[in-house]
Amino acid sequence: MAREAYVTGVGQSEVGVRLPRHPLLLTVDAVKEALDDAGLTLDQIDGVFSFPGKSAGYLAFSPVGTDDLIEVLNIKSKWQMGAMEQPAQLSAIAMAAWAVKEGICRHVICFRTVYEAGGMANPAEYMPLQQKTTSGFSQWTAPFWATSAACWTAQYAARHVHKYGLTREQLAQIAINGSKNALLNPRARAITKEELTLDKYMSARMISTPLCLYDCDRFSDASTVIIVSAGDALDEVKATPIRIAATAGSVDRYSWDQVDWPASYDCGPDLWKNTDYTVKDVDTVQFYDGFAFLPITWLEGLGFVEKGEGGKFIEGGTRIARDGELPLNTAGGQLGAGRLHGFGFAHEAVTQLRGAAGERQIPGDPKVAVATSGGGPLAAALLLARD
Amino acid sequence: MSSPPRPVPKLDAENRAFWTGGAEGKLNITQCGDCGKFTHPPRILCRHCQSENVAPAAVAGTGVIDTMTVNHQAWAPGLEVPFIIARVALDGVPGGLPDDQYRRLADRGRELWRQGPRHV
Ligand SMILES: [Zn+2]
Repeated sequence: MAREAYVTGVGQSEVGVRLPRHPLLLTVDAVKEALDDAGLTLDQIDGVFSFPGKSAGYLAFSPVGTDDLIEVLNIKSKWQMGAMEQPAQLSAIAMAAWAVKEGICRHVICFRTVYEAGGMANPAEYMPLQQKTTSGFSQWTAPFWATSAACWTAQYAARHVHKYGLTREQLAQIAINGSKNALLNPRARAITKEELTLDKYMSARMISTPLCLYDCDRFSDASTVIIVSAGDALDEVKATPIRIAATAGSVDRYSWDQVDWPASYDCGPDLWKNTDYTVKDVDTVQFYDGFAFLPITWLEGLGFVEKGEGGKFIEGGTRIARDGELPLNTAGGQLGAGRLHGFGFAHEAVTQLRGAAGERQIPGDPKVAVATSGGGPLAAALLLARD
Repeated sequence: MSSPPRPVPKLDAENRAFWTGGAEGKLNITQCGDCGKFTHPPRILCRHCQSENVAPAAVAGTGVIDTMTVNHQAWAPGLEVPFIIARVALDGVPGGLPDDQYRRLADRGRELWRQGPRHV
C-alpha cells in the first residue's frame, strides 16, 4: 500500500524587521510551535529539510542550516537536506513528502529562516556592485548593473505588458489584496500597518519598470516550520492532518537572460499529472509574490486562466479577495506579510484548510489549496487537501 | 556624482573570448564546430550536442530587443539612475528569443538605445 504524506504541524516565529532575536532562536521558536501544533515531541522527529540550507556567503538570506537544528535540538536524523540546487523553496517540503512516502522518515521538520531585514544592518552583503571583480552567475548581471531579481522579473513582466496588455492597475490588485489580508494577520503587524490604495500604488516610485515599490516584497526576519509526516504515523499526531496530494517542480537554465518565461509555466501542468483534483476543486491559492507579477505567472501556469489572461482575472480584485471565487494570498503574501521566502504560503494553505485562520478565514469550508514558490528559472508547487 | 566602476568579470577559459572580444570590436559567442549551435553563457563544451569542439565566433552584434526595463533603483551608493537593462535576441544566433509580436517593444527599445543610455 502506497504511503501518503501529510502536513501535521505548522509553526512560525515572530515576524519582524530587525528583530533583536538571533535567527537560530527564531527557528527554534517556530519548531516549538509546530511540534506543539502537531502534538509531537522532538524525539519523534527523524528528518530535517530546508531550502537552501545555510548560505555561508549570504547569512542574512539563509542564516540557519539543517545541521544547526540537528545539533541544538539533539535530533536523531535519518535524512537531512539543505541545498540551493533544487527547484525553489517548497521543494524542501516536496522532498520531505517523498522521504516519508519512501519510508525513510516518519516525521520531518521543514523550515525556512530569513534574517534579511536584520541583515540590512550590514549593507555590504547587499551591494555586490561595490565589488571590483565578479565571477560565476553574477558576471552576467553585475557588469550591467542588474544585480536585483527586481530587474530580472521586470523583464518578464515587461513582455506580459507588451504582449498581453497587462496594466499597472491590474498588477496593483495583487499588492492591494495582500495589504488587506495582512491587516487581518497578527503576524504581519510589523510589516503592514495600513491598507494600500490604488492612488498610493500608482504614485509610488518605480524600482524597475513596470514594477514599483509596492510590487516588491518586504524584507523581514522570521522562521516558518512545516512538519511532514508519513500517513502510517498519523496516530501519533493530534492536529488535523493535511494531505500533500501532489508536488511539482521545474528548473530552467540558471541564466535569467537566456530563459524565455518563468519556470512556473512548466511546473504548473505537472502538478495535475498525479492527482484526480483539477483547478475547479481548488478553494484557495497561495502564490509566491516576491514580486507582484509572479502570481500572474502561477495563475496562468497552473491553468486557472489561459496564458495572457492573468491580468484580466485579477482586475478589480474581487475574484482574488477572501470572499471571491479564488482567494489569493490570504495571509497577505510576501508583499503584505513579509518575505518569508516561500514557506509562508504552505503555512497559510494549511491554516486555511484547517479552518484556523481566524478573522481572515475564507468562507465555504475549504478543502483544497495550492501553494507555490519561485520566480524566474526556479519553480515548485504543492497541492494540499483535507480528506 | 558618477557611478562606481562596473564589477569586472574574472577571466577564465570559458569566458575570456566573450569579455575581451570588444577590444577588437567583436562580439564573440561560443559556437559548436560540429552541430553549429551556440552556447551562451559560454561553456567549454556544446550544450546541445556535448561536443568539446567549441570556439568563439564573432557574430553580427545586431538583434531585436525582446524585453527591457528602466531601472530606477540605485543598487549601490552613487549609482546613477535611471538606466535601461535590455535583453537582445542576437541576429544569427538561434536560441535567442525573437518574436514579431515584440516588434513594437523592440522599436521603442532601439529608439531609447540611440538616445544613449548611460550604463547599457
Ligand atoms: Zn554542438
